[in-house]
Amino acid sequence: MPRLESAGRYPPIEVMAKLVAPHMERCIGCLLCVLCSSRARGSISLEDSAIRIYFDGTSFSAQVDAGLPVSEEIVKICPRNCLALTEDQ
Amino acid sequence: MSRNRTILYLDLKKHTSQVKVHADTYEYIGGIGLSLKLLSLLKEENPVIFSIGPFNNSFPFVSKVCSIFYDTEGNLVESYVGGRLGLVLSLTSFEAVVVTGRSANSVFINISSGKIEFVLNQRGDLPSIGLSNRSSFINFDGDQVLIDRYFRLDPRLGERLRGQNVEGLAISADHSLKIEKRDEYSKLYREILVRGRELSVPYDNFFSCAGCPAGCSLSAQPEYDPSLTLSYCLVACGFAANIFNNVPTVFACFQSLGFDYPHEVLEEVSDKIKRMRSDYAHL
Repeated sequence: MPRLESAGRYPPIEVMAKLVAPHMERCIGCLLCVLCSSRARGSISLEDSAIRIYFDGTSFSAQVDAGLPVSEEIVKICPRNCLALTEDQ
Repeated sequence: MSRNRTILYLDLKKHTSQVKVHADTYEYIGGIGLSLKLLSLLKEENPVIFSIGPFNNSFPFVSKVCSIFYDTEGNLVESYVGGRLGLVLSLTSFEAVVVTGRSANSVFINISSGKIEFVLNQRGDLPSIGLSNRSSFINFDGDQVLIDRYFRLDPRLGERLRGQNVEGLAISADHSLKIEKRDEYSKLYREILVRGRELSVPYDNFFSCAGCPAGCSLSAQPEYDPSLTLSYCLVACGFAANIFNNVPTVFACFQSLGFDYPHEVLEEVSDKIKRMRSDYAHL
């Protein structure tokens, strides 16, 4: 599980990184994030991923499984910058 | 990956299905090679054959599904289209779906969790069966036949499917594949991903095929380039031919997946494809 350090003059505290999808209006449905997440867990799958992408006929939406670990790679692999990691204490 | 190829046969006349394991198709790799080999066995039945290749779920830009069939004038049509269908089919136990015969009534075919349903007279909206984040589907929208509501199949395939009384088809992924050589494979995956700049089409923000980050302006179009052989055995996008019509790259991809595909098979498959395209050009 990736950890982010807080900034400032106080001693750093460890916080858990949480995957969020704030810009799904940009999503083109390539599923690289889905496959990246499952690959990080040692498999190729649409089910073993921390993120699932749905299409309603006009746009895409994301469902994130907060219980599964994520890495920064899943954010970086998105060609449209739809995803982000946030601090979740 | 096995040396065998598992094929799903759908008989529309009887509404029955059969799964056959072909041990004699290894040297054809997949995609167009596998499809032409199957066609050589089934030509009299005038099938529609959908197939995938060994990298559909494993490497970027390998994002299509191959379809071959004879059009109404008896000419062989080979067409590649994107969407999720190739990825989803690669995460079932089947490497090709062969559709033969004609249904007496309009039928929607649902392939999910190893079960095959022939749903009769499913007019109107797409059925909810089998449709989720792990599904892909073909359906008609007016004169067009679409994959996942956006990616257009060759209109001649639409004619064929209408002629067989097929209203649509849905497939759901029900398999996960274990990665054997994770570090080697992940490294090669990233190397190929950055080769996106070699695509012969610019990146854009249109809906993209599963496994391709390009979102190109032509993603919705069916494609066929008769000069491509090896990359169409993999069912890679034609715009990525610089990457996947290359034997050393393809060999390295197989190696990273822990599979020792003989180099000579990769070298020889192009001639086989050209010969079979010619041999089976007409019904």
